[in-house]
Amino acid sequence: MSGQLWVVAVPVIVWAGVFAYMVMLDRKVAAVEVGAEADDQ
Amino acid sequence: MRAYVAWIWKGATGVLLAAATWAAMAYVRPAEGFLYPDGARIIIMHVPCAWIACLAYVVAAWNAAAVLRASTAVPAKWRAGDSRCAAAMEIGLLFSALTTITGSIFSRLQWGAFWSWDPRQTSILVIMLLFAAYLVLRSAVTDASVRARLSSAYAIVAVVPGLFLIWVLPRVVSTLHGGANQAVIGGGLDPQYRLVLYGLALPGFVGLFAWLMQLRTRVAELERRWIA
Repeated sequence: MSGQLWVVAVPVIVWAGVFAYMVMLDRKVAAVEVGAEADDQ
Repeated sequence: MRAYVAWIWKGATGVLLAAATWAAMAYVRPAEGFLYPDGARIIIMHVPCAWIACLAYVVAAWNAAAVLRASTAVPAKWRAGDSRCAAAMEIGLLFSALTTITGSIFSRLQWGAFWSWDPRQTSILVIMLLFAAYLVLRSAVTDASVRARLSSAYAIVAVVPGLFLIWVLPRVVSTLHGGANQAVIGGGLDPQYRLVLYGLALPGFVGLFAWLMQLRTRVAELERRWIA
């Protein structure tokens, strides 16, 4: 049962990590965009 | 308000793909009639990757047409379309590579070899090369306006063999995928697999594609502003 649980948990954790990384990238790009707009003004 | 809407669909993408991942491993039954029944679970990821490669072609060609319609004298009119076209082709290359890798794993489990030059395996390889050739072409031209028009013309030309290789060729020649194709396209697919593929994986992957597209075009815009 424990083995089966890990078979499910590992891919879900991997996807959660990818998702968190994409959220982080998105926020960093948004921060750079704000900085670039401030430079333009 | 737009920021909230964006985070709602991005959050939905996260939930859908987490649910699809869980369902692939825990909800769907091992497939009957397969050499390694549990190996069939990989189609929950493999098939959407192929769909997204196909969607990338269509999105790229659509934006390429917009670039070719716009006047070259007004960069603002073609620049966004060019960025979106390039982003779609890059993401198409990524998903066609993922399709090839996941397909090779399935091939090893079901047919005993990672690669057997099956028409569908060969067609996804050619599709991957079509995406890669677009990026090589872009990197070879320095003038932004010429690059946009040349690469857009290529993207429109490439969509024809691309879609032919994905949708037509594997159905008119004998292929190892014969049964698998009919199971996915026709009525033979297990209802559990159909629910997870169409209800979770496909919308999740489309959301992921849209998110990657958005990120890549925003980065391209920042790169352009930096260089300018």
